Amino acid sequence: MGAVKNMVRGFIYSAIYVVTTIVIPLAIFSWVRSMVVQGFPLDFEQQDYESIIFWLTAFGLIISGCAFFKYSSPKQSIRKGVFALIQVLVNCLYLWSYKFSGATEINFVILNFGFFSLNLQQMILVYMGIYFLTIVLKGYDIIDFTINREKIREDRMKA
Amino acid sequence: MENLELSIQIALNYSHVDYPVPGVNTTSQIQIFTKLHNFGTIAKGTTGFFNFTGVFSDFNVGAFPNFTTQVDWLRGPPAIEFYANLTISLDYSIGLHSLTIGILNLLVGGLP
Repeated sequence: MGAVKNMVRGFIYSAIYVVTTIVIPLAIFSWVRSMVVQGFPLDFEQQDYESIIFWLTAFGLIISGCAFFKYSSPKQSIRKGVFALIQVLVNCLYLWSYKFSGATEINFVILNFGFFSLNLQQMILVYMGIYFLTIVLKGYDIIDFTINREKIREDRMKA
Repeated sequence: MENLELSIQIALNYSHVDYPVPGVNTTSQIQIFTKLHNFGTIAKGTTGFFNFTGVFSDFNVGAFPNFTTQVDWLRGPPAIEFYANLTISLDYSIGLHSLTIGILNLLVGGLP
C-alpha cells in the first residue's frame, strides 16, 4: 500500500511542477506577448519568445520528472536524497535558463511610439544564489541518510 | 527608485541640396543635441522635481549644415524638422530590476 501511496504522491507533485514551471510561465509570456498598452500593441520578438518557451519547457519537464522520483521515493531514503539534490541543480539551471534565453531582459517595441525594456537579471541571479545554498542542505541529507541508513530502516520497519 | 536617468537626443531633418550629386536633393538627418542626466535616487514616498538643462557644449555644432547653401528651403513647409528621442531609465529594489522607456522620433518642431 505504501508503494502505491508513494507513486500517487509522485504523480501529484510531478503535476504540480508541470503547472508551476511550464504552464504558468507559458501563460504569462503568452499574455504579455498579446498585451496592448494605452492602445499601443507591443511587439515582442518572435525569436525571443520561441527561445524562452523552448528552454522553459525543456527544463520544466526535467524538473517535473525529478519531482516524480523524489516524491515517490520513501522518506529519508538515499534515492530521495539523490533526486532532491538533482532537482535543486536542475532548478538552478531552470532559473539560469531565464537569463540565457533572454526572458530576464524583455524588450518590447511599441509600434509608432518607441520601446519598453524590463531587465530582471539581477533579481534572478540573487534568487539563484540563495537557491544554490540549498545544495549544501541536500548534500548534508544524503550524507545523513547514508550514515544512519540502518537506523532509518529500523525506524521504518517499526512504523 | 535609483539611478533615474533622462537622455534626450535631438536630430535635425532637412533636404540636402545637390547631394550626393548636383541636381539631386537627399533628405538627411543629423544629430545636433545629446545629453544624459542622472537625477540620482528618489526615496520611497517622496516626489522629485527636476530641471533638465542643456548648454552650448551639448550641441554638436560641427554637424550643423550650412543653412544658406546646403538646406533646401523650398521643401516643406517645414524645410527643417526637429525630431527627439527621449529615454527614461531607472532601477528598482536595490537594482534588482531595471526599467527603460524610450520615445523615438518624436516630432518636436520645424522651421519655418
